Amino acid sequence: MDYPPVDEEIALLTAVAPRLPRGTLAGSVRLVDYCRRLAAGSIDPATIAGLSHASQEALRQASRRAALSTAELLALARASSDGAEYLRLLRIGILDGASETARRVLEPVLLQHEV
Amino acid sequence: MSVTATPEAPPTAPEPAEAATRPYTPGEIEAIARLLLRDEPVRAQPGSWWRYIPAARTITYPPIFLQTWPGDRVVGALMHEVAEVLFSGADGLTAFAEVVRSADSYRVTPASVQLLLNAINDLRVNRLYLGGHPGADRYFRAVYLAGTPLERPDDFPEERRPAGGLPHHQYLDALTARWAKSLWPELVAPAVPDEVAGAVRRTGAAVDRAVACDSLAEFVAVVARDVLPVYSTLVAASRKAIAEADAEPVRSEDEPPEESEPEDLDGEREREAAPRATGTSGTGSAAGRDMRDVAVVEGEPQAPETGDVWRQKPTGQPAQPPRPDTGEQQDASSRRGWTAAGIYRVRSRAPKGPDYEHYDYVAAARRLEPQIRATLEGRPGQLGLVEILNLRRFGTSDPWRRPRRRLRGDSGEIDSDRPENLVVDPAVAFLHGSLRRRDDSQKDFANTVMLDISGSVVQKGYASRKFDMLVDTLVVFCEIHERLKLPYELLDFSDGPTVLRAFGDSVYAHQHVDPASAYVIKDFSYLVRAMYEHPHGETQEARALRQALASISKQRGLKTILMITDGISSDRPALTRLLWEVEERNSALPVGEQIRVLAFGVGLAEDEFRASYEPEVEGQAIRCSAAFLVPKVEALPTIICRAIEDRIRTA
Repeated sequence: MDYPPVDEEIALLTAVAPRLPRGTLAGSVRLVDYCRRLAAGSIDPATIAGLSHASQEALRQASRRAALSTAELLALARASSDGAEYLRLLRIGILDGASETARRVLEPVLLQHEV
Repeated sequence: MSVTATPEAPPTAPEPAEAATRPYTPGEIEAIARLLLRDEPVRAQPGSWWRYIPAARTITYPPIFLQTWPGDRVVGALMHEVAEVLFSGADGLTAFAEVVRSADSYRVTPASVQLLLNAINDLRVNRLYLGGHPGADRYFRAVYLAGTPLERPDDFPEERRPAGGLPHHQYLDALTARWAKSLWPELVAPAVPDEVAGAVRRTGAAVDRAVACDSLAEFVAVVARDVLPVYSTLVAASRKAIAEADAEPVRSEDEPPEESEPEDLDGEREREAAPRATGTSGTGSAAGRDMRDVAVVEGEPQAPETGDVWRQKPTGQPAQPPRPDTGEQQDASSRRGWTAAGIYRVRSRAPKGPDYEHYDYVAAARRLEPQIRATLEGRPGQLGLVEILNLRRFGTSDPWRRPRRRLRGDSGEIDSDRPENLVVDPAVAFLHGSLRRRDDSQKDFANTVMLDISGSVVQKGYASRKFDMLVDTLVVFCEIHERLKLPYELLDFSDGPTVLRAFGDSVYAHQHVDPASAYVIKDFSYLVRAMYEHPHGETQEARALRQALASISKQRGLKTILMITDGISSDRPALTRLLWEVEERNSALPVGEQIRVLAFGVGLAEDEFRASYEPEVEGQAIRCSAAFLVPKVEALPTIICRAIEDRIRTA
């Protein structure tokens, strides 16, 4: 599936939810974009070559969970009154139902964006 | 600043602390690093400490601390290294280079200048990272509240530092604590001497300006102009403190004065005192050698029989002139006579074993390179493992020769696992959701290397020839598996087994054996250090072997357990029973699926060893086990090649 470029997606979210901080939206979009590319196998293979089987598996599970669609991001942005709520909903959306491995890997990556 | 989930969060969103209770595994840390770094061409891999190495495009993490550090602190340290990548990157070295080169003008060593720049730059990159990722606050807090020094001060040899630390190191610690306290007021800053506190006060504003710089060039300029002059005075004070510490006689705190024990042997005391005073074994350290040499000269003022030999360093350079002797010292030395000198001479020439608490795997691998190469490439009249395994896998010794194009549109690319077949980059294959590799890919051979670390092989703190040999054998085996890209498991055992490296950790992008010039030695120092730290009790090899059998049974291909032991078993009947079980199980399996145990004996107890691993049950030999005595490391290549070839031929 093709998604809009990162900058366009950020602009889209900013237009839909102008009350949300642009930095927060940008951080989440960049993470989701990377996970989409990771799940689709379109990232630079040099960056993941040589990873152990365990970390490959953890990455695969985590990237599938975090590869949200633009529609899902828009829904989260629309439903959020501020940046903190957006990040909380994003975290729930990604981690809800995720395997323990994916959860442990994604937790710090998501939490670092919280305000 | 609250960074945890708000109370309104539904139960499906777990509290972060919940996930952090179980220690992170290396695989999880590498995955987190990848998600933090995203497209940055830098990867995380095990190492001795948290470090960003721009030239190697690598972040290293210490696996040994993953078990003991809280999860937040581990992630915090990782985030700091990621911040280094993002905000210093490879440009950092270039930007620092000019100031480091000008170190002489401040009468400071380049290493000390580099340390200053690194320490303040740490604060700068932390600030920038926290600015973009406010939620990372909890992770950084865990690092700095624990007082964990992420920057290791290694500009002065550790063994020469006086108690309490060097002033310029205290200064850098105080700067870090000051920055951390500004963010987390609950932090308790360590007390520092007035001289250091004054320097912190004088440079505080300049350091704040440097930390506030976004560009590296600006940062370097501020540090060089406003901080380095003050820092250089502290380095001078450190040098003075070291000189004063050197002038003190080397003596441990709990040891009574020399005169009270005239019967004690000088050589023995000096040799024991030096490592305790230095905190290291002193091997390979120039500073450590210097201290020991000076101590010997001081203790041997009258030794006409030995002539000038005792006044020379081992390198042939003249030693420092001895200090004027007191009458008491002369009396003591005359009582000792030449005996102490003789004993010292004999002992000082005895080879000293490696320091396993600071073991350097890479250096060991380089030392054993001839043995490793001989094992892989063979010797005249003896096939190497590369050829033996290729013949077994592909029926030819040169399977990767580029084939002719057979089909229209065939790109001619070669699949490393199956040369006649398919081509997709294996590194990305897993991302497509399906592993496109042949069923038995990377599983033609599966080996478990078991290492006996029982008390009969090693006791912590004591030199052990058996353990030296066991570690050398481990290095050879690790290198063979890594270079041949064979899946393997490493397991040490004494009272119980501990898995050091699981099968899942040895996955390779392809099976093509790289040329020796392209191979980079992985740093497995942490494995040897962990082995040395583990308890050394009884030799319960049957328990360990049972665990190894359980894990290797799940692997495909030719399964072999390589046991490195001295053969002195605590429960030989249990071992024999287990080997008999394996024998019976093998009889019901196809030949290719049978498990075999190859034991390599590193001790002198050959009879014990053979009785353990080549037992007879009711007069019948057990075929699943074979014993090979290793008299010295140089003999390993021949022994390993014969053992593996025999294993393959009889499979």
